[in-house]
Amino acid sequence: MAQWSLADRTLYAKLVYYGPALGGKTTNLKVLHQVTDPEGRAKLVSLNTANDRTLFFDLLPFDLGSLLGYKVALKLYTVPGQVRYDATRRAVLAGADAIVFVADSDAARERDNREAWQDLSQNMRATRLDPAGVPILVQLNKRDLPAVAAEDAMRAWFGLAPSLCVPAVARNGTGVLSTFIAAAHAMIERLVAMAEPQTRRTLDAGNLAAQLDAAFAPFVARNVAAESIGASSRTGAAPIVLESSDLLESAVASSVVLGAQLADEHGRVQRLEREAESLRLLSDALRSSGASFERDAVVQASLTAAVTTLGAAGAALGTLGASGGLLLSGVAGRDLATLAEAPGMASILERMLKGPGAAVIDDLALEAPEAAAAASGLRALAVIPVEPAQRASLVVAMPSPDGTFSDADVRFLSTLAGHLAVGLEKVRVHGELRAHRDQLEAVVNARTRSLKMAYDELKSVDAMKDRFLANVSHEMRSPLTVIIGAATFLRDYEGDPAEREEMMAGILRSSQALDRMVDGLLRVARLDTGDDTVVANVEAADVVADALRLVGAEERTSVVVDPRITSLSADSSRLARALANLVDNAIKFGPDDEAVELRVAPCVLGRPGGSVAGVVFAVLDRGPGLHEEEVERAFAPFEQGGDPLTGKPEGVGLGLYEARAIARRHGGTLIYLPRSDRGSEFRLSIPAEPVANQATRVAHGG
Amino acid sequence: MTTAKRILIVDDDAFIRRPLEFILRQEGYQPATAADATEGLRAVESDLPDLIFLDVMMPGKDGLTWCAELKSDPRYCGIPIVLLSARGQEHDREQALALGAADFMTKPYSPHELKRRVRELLGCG
Repeated sequence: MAQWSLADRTLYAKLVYYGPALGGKTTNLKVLHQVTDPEGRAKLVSLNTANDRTLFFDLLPFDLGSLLGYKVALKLYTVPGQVRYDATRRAVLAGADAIVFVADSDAARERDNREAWQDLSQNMRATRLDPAGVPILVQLNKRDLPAVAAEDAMRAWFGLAPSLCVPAVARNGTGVLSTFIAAAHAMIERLVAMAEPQTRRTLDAGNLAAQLDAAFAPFVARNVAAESIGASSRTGAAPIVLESSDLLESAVASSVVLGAQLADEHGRVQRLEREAESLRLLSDALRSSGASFERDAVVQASLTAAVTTLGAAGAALGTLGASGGLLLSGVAGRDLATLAEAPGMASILERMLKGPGAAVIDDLALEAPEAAAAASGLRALAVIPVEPAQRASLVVAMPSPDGTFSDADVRFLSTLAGHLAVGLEKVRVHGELRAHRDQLEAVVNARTRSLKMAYDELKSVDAMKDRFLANVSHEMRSPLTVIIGAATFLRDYEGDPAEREEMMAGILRSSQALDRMVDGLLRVARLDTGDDTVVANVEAADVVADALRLVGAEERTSVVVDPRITSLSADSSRLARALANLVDNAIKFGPDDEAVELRVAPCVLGRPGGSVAGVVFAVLDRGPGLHEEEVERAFAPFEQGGDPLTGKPEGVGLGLYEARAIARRHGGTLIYLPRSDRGSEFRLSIPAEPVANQATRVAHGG
Repeated sequence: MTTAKRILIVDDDAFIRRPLEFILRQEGYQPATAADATEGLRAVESDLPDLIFLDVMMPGKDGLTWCAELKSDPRYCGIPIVLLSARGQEHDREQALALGAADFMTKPYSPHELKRRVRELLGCG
């Protein structure tokens, strides 16, 4: 496994030569050793086994010089080709960063190539090497033999691109360096691409290919020189040859295993660093305001951290409902819903969630074969408690074929779960605070509204008081002016009899006007304070006549009473007053030469419990009428129509207010309708029979 | 002997005009009356008054408007005008004086007070 050592700025990488026995792996390494390390600083180590078969085991450490700002230290290994050394092959293969498969071009050895290729594939699986992640180059060696398999055919069988199949004659050095350089290229590109962000920041990866070419240039130059001399005349350092013994072999194998373990250890350290980085990012995300108070965002951040850090297939927050039943939410990576729905899986998940601590299933295929089949692509499953009280847990799945959860993974997930629990608690507290604040706000708003209503009401009462004072005082002042002026004249001057007569008439007339005004005010005050409406059977014609008499409007009014209307139930003096007010208004606002119309007709009054028969009194004039926005104001007390400076009629502005109040006392209505040609129509409608609770009926006679 | 001072009374309410007219005549003035601004202008044009009593609220042209018109007319701007109103708010008085009225009286007025003002404005008695 490659190690980017930040401490000594060195990339340690491992390149393994694999292939059938006697295919030329060792020859490749010998040539490379000679080309790259002519002084023989590094030793080539070879182990000869007992019974005649040769186990080459070669270590070739060398320095590629500065690359990307790093020194590159490559270790080259060959594996023993013979079938019986499978365990050693695996030990050597473990942690490889790139593989060169040295194929024998001898047509007779096609089968050996195939077996070795399948063996490589099996051993890569066994040592957890990702076929997609570890570059593999194939060297088509021994192209100089008389009977060789065609290059195209071999390439097609290996299923590799031409650039990844290099023809060679290792025996004389041809193609050895180019194979190595191609493999090193592919490997380093891959390692750079896979480097951690932290490491990548330290890489000087401007033009990787150019840097690689420059790094390998001295070797290429030496190789050309070596080839011109001829491979046979080569004088490389002789390998150290160890005579085989079982002890020795196992010692070497152990050292390789130890190396692999060291590499694993380093990998673990890197992974811990990665986890720390993930947790840091997560905690940053939780700390940052805004999103951190959104439950979904908090959950999502944790799940994403679990998936990216562990390379998990998918993660979700699983919650057990109070009455059982599993809810997966906030899915990151692969959706785990299919897994939860797989046969038998729900109960397994529920059991895992109910447990007190972390629960792990290493291989779903063993625990729940049906579920594993339904949720293909998932192998291992971990459930880590987040909030035991809420029965919420992290549910994380690793991909097949060989995803597992190490102890370190579980520890990481537990830490993550702790972070998530803190985040969720924060969300909850924030939510409670927000709900509390909203509640307070609602209370404040409601109080403000009721205060505003009370204020508006007071304001309208205050405005009414102002109108009352202005209107009433004004209306009283004119007659008082007349009375005071006339009385003063009568007291202070003799005058002639006609003048004295006129002054006395003025006093009388003005006093009567004042009397009417006070009367009207008292009537309205009575209407406002209590209900003393008394109804009896009255003749419609009599009520109308009374009304016209009250305002002296007999001459100016044309009355039409529908013959169907004779008597009705009403408080006759009140009703006459209401009609008198309407007629009085019609005369005041209408033109002098137009008669006011008063029509009495039957009508139907809509009521919640059905309609009732009624009588409508319509008073029509040819005055200016009311604008839509004036209508409501017209019915308010102490409101008057006309221009206050030039057109204000006599009166204090209670006519319509009083008439409407009287109509309502009778269980009826008073509405305004504009006339289509010009003028106003006021319709006072009351039920023909009294409405219960609306008025007291007085029995006749007795 | 001096000519009696001419006083024009403009008010739409005859019952208000009459006592004022009688009192002023008894005091030795020569009163004339008009029911609105149109009649008033005719009276002013035919016989220039020494003083005008003018009601604020009248049908047609209101007293304030007519007062402003008279004050902007060089022929009549010298005639003192007393505005009479049943509305007695302070701003009504201010508005009247701003328009050039010599005085502002609210109804009901005391005849005695009225006589005193007339004497002051006409600079005699």
